[in-house]
Amino acid sequence: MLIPLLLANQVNAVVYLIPLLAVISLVYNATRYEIPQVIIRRSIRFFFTAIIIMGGLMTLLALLSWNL
Amino acid sequence: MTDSQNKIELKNPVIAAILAFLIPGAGHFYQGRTFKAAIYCFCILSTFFCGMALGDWKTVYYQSQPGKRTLGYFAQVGVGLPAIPALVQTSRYNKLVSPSNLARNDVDSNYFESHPYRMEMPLEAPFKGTLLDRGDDGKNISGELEGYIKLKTVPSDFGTAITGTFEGTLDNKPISPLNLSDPVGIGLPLGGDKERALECAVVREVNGRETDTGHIEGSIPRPFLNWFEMPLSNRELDDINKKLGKRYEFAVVFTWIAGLLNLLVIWDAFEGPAYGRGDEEEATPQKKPVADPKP
Repeated sequence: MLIPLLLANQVNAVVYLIPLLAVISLVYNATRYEIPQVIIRRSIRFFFTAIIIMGGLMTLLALLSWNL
Repeated sequence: MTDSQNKIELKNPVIAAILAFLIPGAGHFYQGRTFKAAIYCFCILSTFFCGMALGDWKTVYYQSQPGKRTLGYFAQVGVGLPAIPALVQTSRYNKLVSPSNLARNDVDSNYFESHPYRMEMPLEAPFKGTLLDRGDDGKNISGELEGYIKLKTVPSDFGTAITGTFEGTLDNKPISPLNLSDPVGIGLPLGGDKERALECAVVREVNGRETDTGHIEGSIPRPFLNWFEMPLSNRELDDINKKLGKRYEFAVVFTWIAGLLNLLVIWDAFEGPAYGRGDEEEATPQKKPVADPKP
């Protein structure tokens, strides 16, 4: 019990965001459309768009805080 | 709303919305929209329960006392049945810790003395903890205890007293039973922690008299219904934050998001998808008939 807890504590917090983002993009797009293919296609696009935007923001923040 | 939404059979939207609230995906299953039902059920419930598991099953509770109110519960309750037991547990907890209840039992507000644990006697439970004692030969004894504890009330010169025994192992080696006595402290029967604190004195016969020679300190398990979605005390909240750190915050956010996503799902069950079926843009536009220039 202790070892998985210790491992989970060491995992970078960003890892938790990936499955969360996948769930959000899938559920959000499922509430917008009805056809399965459209839902999946839109979800994938939503997921990668969000990843790129968040990655860009992270990079920007990392650059702004460089050598601070 | 688009015309294409008319093609979607929503059956009775109110029933579907209620079902969608109670169990994510159930409303869509009722409407025969099984693909979406599967997505909602899997995604929302797995996010919610992952959040609960990541936070050591202490992320979903409702604290209703003034100054401690947990507004986050209003996001979590969107997930429906899995979060609703918290309301029942809050009601049970508030009855237990209400000032009138404490006053009726004529005890002070000390953590260990704030409930009528004497009414729970006789008590038998598995015990894990530590021992700090002085043996018959005068040497100090200490170590990890694991075994079974039995406590009961007996008449004494000052009303009733608690006595009992501990049987089990000290540092994984069997030991002779320990005699236990007042003062006994037991945590509240209801609480967010799976373990319930317990401490009491160890007595030995010294020069023909029962003498307090040490004490044991540890915990006994709480039944599932006495800890699941139960409000956390300040101490329990501090402990879980200390133990899990930011992982606890992530776990709480998981449960919030699951509840909030289900609000979109409920609306989808009631009203249909927000942008229509999704095939409108793919449909080929019909050409308008060219008007005959000649009259």
